[in-house]
Formats: sequence, C-alpha cells, structure tokens
Amino acid sequence: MNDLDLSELIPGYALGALSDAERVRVEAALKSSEAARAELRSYQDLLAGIATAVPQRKAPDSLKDSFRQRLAAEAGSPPATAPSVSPVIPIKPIRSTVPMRRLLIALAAMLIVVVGFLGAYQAITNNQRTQTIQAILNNPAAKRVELTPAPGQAGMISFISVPGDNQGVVVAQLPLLGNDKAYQLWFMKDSNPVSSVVLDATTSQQILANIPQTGTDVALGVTVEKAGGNDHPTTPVLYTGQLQRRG
Amino acid sequence: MRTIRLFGRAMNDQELIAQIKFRDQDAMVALYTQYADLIYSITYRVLNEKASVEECVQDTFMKVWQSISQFDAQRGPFVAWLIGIARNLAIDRLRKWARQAAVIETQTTDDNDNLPYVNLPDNWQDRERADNLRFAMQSLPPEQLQVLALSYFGGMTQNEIAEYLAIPLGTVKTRMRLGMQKLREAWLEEEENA
Repeated sequence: MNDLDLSELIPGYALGALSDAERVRVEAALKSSEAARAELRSYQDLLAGIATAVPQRKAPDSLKDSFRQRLAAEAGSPPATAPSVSPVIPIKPIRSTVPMRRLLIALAAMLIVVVGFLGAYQAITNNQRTQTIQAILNNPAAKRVELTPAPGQAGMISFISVPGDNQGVVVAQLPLLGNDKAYQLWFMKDSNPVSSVVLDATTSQQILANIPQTGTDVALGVTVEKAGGNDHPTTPVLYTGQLQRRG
Repeated sequence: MRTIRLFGRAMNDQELIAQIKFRDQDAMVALYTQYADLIYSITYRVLNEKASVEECVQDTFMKVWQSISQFDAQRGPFVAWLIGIARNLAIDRLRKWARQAAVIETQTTDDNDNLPYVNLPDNWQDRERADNLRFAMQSLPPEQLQVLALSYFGGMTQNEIAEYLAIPLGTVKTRMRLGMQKLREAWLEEEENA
C-alpha cells in the first residue's frame, strides 16, 4: 500500500468504519510507518474533540452511588493471582559417623571461612552498589520522578532512573518508623504490584531498586509494611508516581 | 492536564491514574465525578435511552478501573482514551439493538434544541479550540456531516452507510475522508494558534 492509499484510509480507520479487509491492510501498514501512526493519532485526538461538540447533559446523582457500590463489589473480590508458594521438599536425615568433637571443630573452621568470605563479598557488593548509584545519578539521561505524598503525609521520595535500565535509585527522606516496620516500594505491572525494594527505617537514604521489565509506563507507590517487606501491599499507598519507560 | 480535588488536595489526571493503578477506590470515584457528565453526554448522544445510558456510563468507568494498566500516556491524553472506551461500549450496545440509523435520525433533531455544550476540561483542550471545531462541523457540507454522524455516533461502517443512504460506496468514502480532513485541519490549526 502506498502512502496516498494509506492516508485516504486512515480517517475511516480512526472512525472504525472500514471493512475488515481494509482494516487489516491499514494495521499492517501502520506497523511499518511512524508517519502513518502519527497521522492516526491526530485523527484519534480529533475524535475526542468531536465528543465535546455534544450537547451537555448532567449525569444523575444517583448514578454516582450506584457506581461506587459496583466499584466496591468489584474491588472486594479476591486478587486474580495468589502468591506462589514453593513446594516443601523433605530433607533426608544423614547418619553421622564422624566423632562429635572433630565435627564441631570442622564446622567452626568452616564458619570462620564463610563469615570472612561473606564480609569481603559484602564489601565488594556495597562498593559496586555505590558505584552503580553514582553512575545513575550522574547520567545526564537520567530522569527523576517525584512521588506525590498522600494527604497529611510528610517526607519526600523520588526515583531516578535512565530510560531503558532495569535499576534506578530511590532517594528518600521519610518519617522514621518503628523497628518492626519498613517502607516498601512497589511497581504496578499488569495490574499486579511487584515489590522493588524495602527501605530501612533510617530517615534519609539512597538505595538501588529494581524496575520490572515492561514496555509501557508504570505506576510506582510506597506503602508501610512489616520489617523485611511483604509479598503484596497491605496498607494504603503513601506516595505515588508514574515512571515513563520510554526516553 | 486537568486537576481534580481528592481529600481537599488538588490532583491531576496523572496522579489520579497512579492512585487507581494501586486500586484506590477514592481516586476512581474522584475520576468518575470529574468526567461523568462528559461521558453521560456522549453516551446519551449515541444511545438516547436513559436506562441504557446509565448502564453504559457505569460500564465505561468499570472498564477504566479494570484496564487502567493498559492506558499509555504516550499515545494521547487520558480523556481521549476514556472517550474511546465510552464510544465503543455505546456503539456495541447500539449494534445489538440494530437500530443505529434510527437513533441518529432522532438525535439530529435533539441537537437543534440549543442545549449548552459539555463543560470542557480546564486545560485539556481550551474552549476556543473546541468552539472552533464546532464551527468547522457546522460549516461542513450537510452530506459530509451526515456520513460522519452515522459513523461516529451510529457506529456504522462505510458499507452500511452506503446501503442506508442508497449511494455508491465510493461516494461515502470520499465524503467521510473530506469531512474528516477538514475537521482535522481546523483542529490542528487551532492547536498551532494556541
């Protein structure tokens, strides 16, 4: 299909007035033409504008109550997906033939090695995290999303990330919580909240956070959860924002 | 972008949508409150039957609640997405009734009642731009406006319009294309002036 044909069909396509065969042809052509997609968007915008040329009528007040009830009924239904639980695999007991003393010495030695290794590993990991955080914060392409606090909620939190990356930096100054609680950052992916990172109880911090893989914009929100975080949000969202995933 | 008050605090569409993605019912009701008259008016224009209009308005906002994750701000403003949902649902209902043309003919009479127009969002598209579009619609040749109305409000395809008006399909295509192009020119021209 040449550009002229496509331009002639796009107005009818935007209106949903084409035959099935024409619609299929236009959709195939749209896949490969950014100009055609832009033209279609302009017609779709126009169609929204045409809607405002409609004489005004007021929705009955009772309709709002009906909607509120229907919404509550819908929202009260159980979540579509339950958190997955790994099957418990029983561990077969091992009968020891090593004398107890030698076994304890060996375990102690192993513990020292493991603790030393973990300490070194943690130092390296922390250093890598710090470098990653600095790289994101210093990247000129990085974008900052300021999360909006709920009414009466103090503190500030923002999320800085480079479009296309799967990690970003949370910069937060939040009200102090008790030791048994923590802030948890969530992303909304396909209508399901996905945990990104748990922020500890300190008031001010910069922390690396994961971003779920998605080609579309994602909402992000912060709730207060138990220390260590939860599988899904259990309290109202205190801060919300919208992350654009395309540059 | 328009602003909505929730719990006494101003929130714009984007913030409300973020709250709705986190299943905030208050935010969804606030969104409903802000757009209900607009959606009611559009749906009424298509269906012209109060009980069905009310069901359709509710269905529209429930669809928003269920599909909010599919909204992509990069593709256009929220209100355009919302209007698209309302129009599709209303036209689906109309198709089930199989009396699109009859409704359109009735509505054409109603439009002459000099009813006030829908309250436009404060800062989505300014009033001047929409007024200009209305003027452009009124200036269209009647045969082009008729074809557009049968399609936009009646959900009729070009083939159905040709059959209903007993005119060649090619004539319908030409009238539709010319009408849409003229309206788009008026719409874009005002955007450039804004």
